[in-house]
Amino acid sequence: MTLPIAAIVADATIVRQVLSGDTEAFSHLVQRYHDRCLRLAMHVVGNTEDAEDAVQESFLRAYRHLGSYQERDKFSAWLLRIVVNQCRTSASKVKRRGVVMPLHDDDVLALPSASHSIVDQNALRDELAMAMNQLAPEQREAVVLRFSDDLTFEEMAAVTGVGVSALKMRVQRACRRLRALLTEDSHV
Amino acid sequence: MSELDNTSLPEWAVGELQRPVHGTEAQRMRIMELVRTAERPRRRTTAAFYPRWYRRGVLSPAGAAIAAVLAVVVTLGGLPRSEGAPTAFWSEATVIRDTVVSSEEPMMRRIASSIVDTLRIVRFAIRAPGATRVALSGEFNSWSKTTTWMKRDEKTGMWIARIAVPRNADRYAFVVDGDEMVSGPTPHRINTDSVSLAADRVDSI
Repeated sequence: MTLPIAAIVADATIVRQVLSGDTEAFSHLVQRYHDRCLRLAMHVVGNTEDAEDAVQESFLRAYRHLGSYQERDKFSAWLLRIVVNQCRTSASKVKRRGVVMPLHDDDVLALPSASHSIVDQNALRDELAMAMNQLAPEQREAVVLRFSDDLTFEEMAAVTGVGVSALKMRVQRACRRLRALLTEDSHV
Repeated sequence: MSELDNTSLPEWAVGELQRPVHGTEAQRMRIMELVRTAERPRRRTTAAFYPRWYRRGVLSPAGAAIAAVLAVVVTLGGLPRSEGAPTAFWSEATVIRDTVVSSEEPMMRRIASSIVDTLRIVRFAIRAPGATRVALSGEFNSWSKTTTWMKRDEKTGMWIARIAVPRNADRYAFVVDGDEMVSGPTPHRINTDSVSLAADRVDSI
């Protein structure tokens, strides 16, 4: 049985379909979660190219290990956990290379905001990226999950494997540091 | 400063972090190309050892019904016990004499039977395998756990006590090795309906 493209099918159903041999069904999961994973990876890794590689590798790993996914867990949390782990690996490589690139890229289509011109928005984006880059990796990861993906601390704990208290502390410290960094440039 | 203040960012920064990102179709196609050439995933063999409801995280209607029945049974105080099959902690408390006045003389017997005594003799018994000490706690001793000790009958293995209990103090509990045993959410009550039946067994106690 092949899943209809337009159907709203539960993640677990698609996973079962893939595990039963229908590889193409995995494309529904890619379609469903690619953008979300890409946004997370871009903010965590700090540059578009490495983020795309991290997301690509994450989906591949998710496919290979799909058999270990348990349906009592949310698929999105399970997938985000893989993405976060992959981003940690990528971030350490980026750190070794010492490369920091702006987040905006022609390959990624961003929605323009009505309040700023494209030039202003790129400037803000770069400024935020630079500030984020000065955070410790674990703080950066926490603040992205909290604000970019709008996860609760409990959901963050499920994704990162870190305790709720530690995550709250990380977010608190990251916010304090970010506010200080962004205030220096008079945007607050 | 409140926690909310400590964990907030400028609005524009939050907006920037939440800005939707749209990957390209080419990126998704590239992922699927890699997936098609990858080794097919296999179900974890250990997963088969878990029941389906555990793996899926949901109960079937039949499973939910069983769980509901079990919950009701536990809430109401446990499964019904079949008669004649004593449990490990079988126990009883029986009134064996309706007065504490005791005499062999016929005159005193008549007097005793004509008055309503405020006290009566109650036999408490419990089978508690492995227990090293058993005490009685109840309204008759202000729920003390250390004043009314039971004696172990070496022949039967039962812990037994015969004490004078006020008529209005019929709630009690056994204290086995320091742990209070009660029947469900309420303490035991002395079986006051068995006085005539138990009277025949007084001599054997």
